[in-house]
Amino acid sequence: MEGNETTASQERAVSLWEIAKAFLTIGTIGFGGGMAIIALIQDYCVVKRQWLELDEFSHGIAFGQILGPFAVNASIFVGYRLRGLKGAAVAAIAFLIPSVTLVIVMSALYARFHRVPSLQAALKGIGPVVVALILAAAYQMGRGRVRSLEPVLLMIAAIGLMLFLKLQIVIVLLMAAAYGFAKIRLGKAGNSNEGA
Amino acid sequence: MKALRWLFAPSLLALAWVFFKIGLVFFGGGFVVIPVMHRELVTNLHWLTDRQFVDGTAISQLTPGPIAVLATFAGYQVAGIPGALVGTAAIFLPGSVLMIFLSRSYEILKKHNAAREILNTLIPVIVGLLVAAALQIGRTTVTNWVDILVLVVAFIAIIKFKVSPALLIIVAALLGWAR
Repeated sequence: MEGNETTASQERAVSLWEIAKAFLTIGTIGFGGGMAIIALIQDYCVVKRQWLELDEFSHGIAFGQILGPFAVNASIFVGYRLRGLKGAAVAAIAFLIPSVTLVIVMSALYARFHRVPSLQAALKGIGPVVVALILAAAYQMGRGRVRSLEPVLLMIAAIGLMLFLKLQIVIVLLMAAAYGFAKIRLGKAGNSNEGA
Repeated sequence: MKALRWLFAPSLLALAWVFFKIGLVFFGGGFVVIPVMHRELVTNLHWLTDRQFVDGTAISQLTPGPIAVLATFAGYQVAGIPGALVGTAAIFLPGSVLMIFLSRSYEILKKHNAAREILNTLIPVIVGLLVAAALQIGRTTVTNWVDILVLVVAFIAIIKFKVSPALLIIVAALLGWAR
């Protein structure tokens, strides 16, 4: 549960089996949608096992948004980073196996009884834990990175755009990327002016 | 044209083609897939009835996987377990190939300082997106004092004591079921 093999793992390549194990677990418990799964991947692969740096992981999440919602895409990103094509395939397939198995079992039951099983009570119970998990991921990612005024404002702007304007995530990220681009260009212009 | 139709007559191949096309439209995920699938599977192909489609959507949402596992359900209804597997593989194929391509581009991109700086400005935004998602989910699932207590305990357990989320989720599911 603790995962203390963290320092050694940075020297040797992560085995495909380890990738499969991590994503089978994530695919089994990852209720709560895209962000909950991002949070789980962060906990298992970045915080506990330190397979990737947190910065790199968050870059990948942001970059992967070009393709929209994440669960499978985030698995592919981590798998690819660790072991290339094979790693990507193993991560994505391992992530999907539990869900696909569950749907096949329930489809078979449905074909026989024409009723949808009721798991709503149990799923309702995990709501607060899912929220805690996502908040913990936000906390771990933000700690040390969202300190000064500018990142705090960016964070608040993102929350506002999502909750009140209900913009798509890609749009919010594109706006932020445009801001980052403009800042770098202006910064460079400023520097060269000072140099001249 | 006739030859084409004959080629697509085996249902597994037809199945793969239909779900591959749906996968092309919606890439990686999201609820966009629901209307697209409904039009294709119910209105155009009559593979599923309206009722089956609605029930299949409900079943798919009971899993941790993305809503696109609706393809697993639909594939099963059309052609049993082989259909379920073929449908699932086909719907995820286009988005996965694109994502592998993106991951590869990232490996190249991150070597450039400017690109890294731009990606760094996105980090606080990602934190904001996580907070927004937590608030959105919390609005419907954290409704009383017990929920708030569970939330706080779980948060501290994850941050301070590095408790496995798997354990927390299983315990919470059992509690929810018992309550």
